[in-house]
Amino acid sequence: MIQSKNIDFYYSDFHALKGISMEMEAHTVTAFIGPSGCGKSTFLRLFNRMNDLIPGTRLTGECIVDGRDIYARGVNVDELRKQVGMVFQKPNPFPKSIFENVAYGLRVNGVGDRKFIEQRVEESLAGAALWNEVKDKLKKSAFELSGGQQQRLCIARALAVKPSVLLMDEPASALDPISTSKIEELIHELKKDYTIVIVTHNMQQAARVSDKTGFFMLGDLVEFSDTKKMFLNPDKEQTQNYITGRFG
Amino acid sequence: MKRFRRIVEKIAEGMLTLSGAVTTVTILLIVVFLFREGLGLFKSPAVEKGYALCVNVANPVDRLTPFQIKQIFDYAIVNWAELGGKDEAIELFRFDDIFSRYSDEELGAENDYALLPDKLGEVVASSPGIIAFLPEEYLPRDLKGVRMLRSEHITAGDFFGGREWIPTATPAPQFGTLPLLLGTLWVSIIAIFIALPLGLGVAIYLSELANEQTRKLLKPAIELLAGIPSVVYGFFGLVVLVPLVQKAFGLPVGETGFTGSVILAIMALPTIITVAEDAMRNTPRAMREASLALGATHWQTIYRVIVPYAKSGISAAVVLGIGRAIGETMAVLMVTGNAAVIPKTLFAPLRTIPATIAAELGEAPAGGAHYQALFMLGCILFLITLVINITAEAISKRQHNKGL
Repeated sequence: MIQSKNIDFYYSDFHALKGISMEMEAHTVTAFIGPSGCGKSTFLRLFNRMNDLIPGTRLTGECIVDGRDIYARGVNVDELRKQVGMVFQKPNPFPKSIFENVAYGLRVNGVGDRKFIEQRVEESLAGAALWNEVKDKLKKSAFELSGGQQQRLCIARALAVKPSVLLMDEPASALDPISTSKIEELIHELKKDYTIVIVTHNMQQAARVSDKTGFFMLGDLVEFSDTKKMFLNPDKEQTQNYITGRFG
Repeated sequence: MKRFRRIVEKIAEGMLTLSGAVTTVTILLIVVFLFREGLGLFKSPAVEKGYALCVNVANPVDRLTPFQIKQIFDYAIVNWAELGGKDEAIELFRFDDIFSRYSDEELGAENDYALLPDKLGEVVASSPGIIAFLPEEYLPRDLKGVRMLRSEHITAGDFFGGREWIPTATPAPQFGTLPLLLGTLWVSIIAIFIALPLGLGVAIYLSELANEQTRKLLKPAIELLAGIPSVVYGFFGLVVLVPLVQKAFGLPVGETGFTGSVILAIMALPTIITVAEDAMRNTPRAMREASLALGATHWQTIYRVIVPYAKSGISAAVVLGIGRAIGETMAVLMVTGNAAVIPKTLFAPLRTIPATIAAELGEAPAGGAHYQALFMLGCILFLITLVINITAEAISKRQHNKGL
């Protein structure tokens, strides 16, 4: 279970997130929607402490993953990131072979057993619905794959370290419709084993894949409820306006 | 009005085209000049201009390489048998020797030494093992018993394969570039071995570890180092490094190839650091984030993702650094001791190609063999740097074509 309590987040002077509190249950898909610059990606990146890389940021409140405040003193960030995997907006495979891309997470964690790595790579590629397409060219460069395949490779790469949470930052926004639908099917599959949080610009996508949806605007969490309710009968007028395309 | 503007534009266009053309032509002319002067070397005689070598007519040897001539006059070869001739001791005869054999009257001194050529002819004809080095204007007119050695040209083999560089040797100057070429390569390669780990370390520090303030301070400082005149580096090397090297390694002299390498390494560092750092900073943020998001530590990210990603940029940095080292003249001239011998150890004086050109061009008579040999050295240097630049270009192109 993931939880945020009263999160305020600043980029230098800019107040990017304002008092956000919410809970995401295990083995569900939660989608964040909202106009550009509303803070949804920033919020997502809090959960694997990716925002630490940006100088001049400040955070108050608590971020709890599996019962532990991940911003508490003494938290090992590298360990946290093994537990909370991430898939980025644009496919970003390493300039290495397909096999080495998936094996990377294991290698940096000191796994040296070839058999084990080979097995885990196959599992992860199968888990990302890519195994059948690449099993004969594992030694080839990851750049030879299509954009959609590269993104599934990135998902496989994240799965290989066996995280419990998967953060996805607009994972399909750079892909064509067919690749997008493959990713969406995959998210359905992965829900069984992982807690998934996905940021998306595409409201239909949020409606298709998520159990719960949060609507962000200007750093506020305007509304957070079951996806069905959100899209059929939202509580707030702002949400209604955004969903029906009257702004944003 | 419109018409006027069009004319002005045409003129401006013409001027730009012209300046481009002038620059290109100038550069081409310089290269052509360099090669024309340099290649003239292979048409110049192996023996000093205005002189000739004569032997006894019975001597079967009729051609000598410049190196053999030098050895004969250095008493390193003392018997014609060593040169494929008869078993006969070699007798050296220089022009001045004639005055110790005959008096001025006998040579016709009051009559402008009219009898001198005949006497020279007699001397050569009378001793079977002689080799005489004579000015052309006093060559014996009557060639009975005298044979002129065929006048050889300096060959590419003498130039590229010669192991001695003694441009002022008489009667045959030695233009073997091997010591200079090897000196240049030694110094440059050792310089790169020193500069590469250091430069890469600093580049990684600057791009990954240093905080923004340190970087803002350090980077311009390092770039400033590239702008210091090389003579200043040379001076620093002479005053500080030379005594240091001498003391540290207990050498008779501190001016060694190693000292040159250290100075060159210092001079190549800014290039290597700047180019490698740029390459590493150009690693997309997405790559770093992808690595960190998988639980890799900062250090693992650096050596497993960032350095491999910047590999071609780093190679380009190395090649450019080598280019800088190979062409460097002044600093090397000041600290390497300039002994034109094939270097056997790094801790002995040696001499590089650019240092040779700088040191000797002033005293080489224009158009002479020495002058042409220096130009030929320039050609070699030009070709080396050309290859290096093409390599650097190819490497950085590969970086662009990585398809990211």
